Amino acid sequence: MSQTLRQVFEVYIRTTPDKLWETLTNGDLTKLYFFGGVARSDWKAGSAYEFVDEDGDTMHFGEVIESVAPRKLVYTFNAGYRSESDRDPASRVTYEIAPAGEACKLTVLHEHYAGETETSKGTFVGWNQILSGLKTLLETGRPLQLPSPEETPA
Amino acid sequence: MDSLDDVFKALADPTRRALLDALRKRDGQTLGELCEDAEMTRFGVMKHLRILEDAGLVVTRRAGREKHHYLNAVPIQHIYDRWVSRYARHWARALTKLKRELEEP
Repeated sequence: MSQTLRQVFEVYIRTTPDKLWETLTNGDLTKLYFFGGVARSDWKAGSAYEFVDEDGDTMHFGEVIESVAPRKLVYTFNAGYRSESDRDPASRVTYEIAPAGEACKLTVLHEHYAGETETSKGTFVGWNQILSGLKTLLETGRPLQLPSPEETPA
Repeated sequence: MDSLDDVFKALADPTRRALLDALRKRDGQTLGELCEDAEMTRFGVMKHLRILEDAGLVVTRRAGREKHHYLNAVPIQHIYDRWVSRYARHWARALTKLKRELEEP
């Protein structure tokens, strides 16, 4: 009851731990499912990281706390969306990758929120979309492709 | 592992949907907390939670002796993406166009 707010997400993806790790940490791949966000970091413990949009503007940023490829990645999460959520204190994200037969189980924990914040409301919706898109990308080899306006016949 | 059949079966029960509602309202509840609001036995709630867990809609984490339950909507999002998301951009474009036309003098 008194524990701090935490969100836990889980998804099974038919892929290998190495491919999953690569897709979580390589900016050319993250932009295909992470709301266009390009991840930038060397992903070593103590290093800074950020996700930037196509204009190079920060989306969220923080510090890598733990990095055990291809099993576990922990980083702090600061919103940088130029909105109310930017005032929220840093929260913490953990990825856990476990092989499960021909698939991998990916668990995402987002915790240490300062109660229900703008960040926590946003990330609940966000993680569900990101992880579903990540599954589609890895299992079909294609991003969840929405046709761009130019491609859509009038 | 969550299959589509398991997700639909798990959702096809009002008690189980109520349990998901309870977690949506307050995530990370223990079995005891979930039982307080449910009008059924502890065993009944456990059974329903098990079905939700098997479908991947509820994820549990242990903290000491306590087991906390979390709403995991990724399987539902995946269903949505399969049938709905691909058309979202089209709709958004139509609305943008409509807005432009309405705002033009």
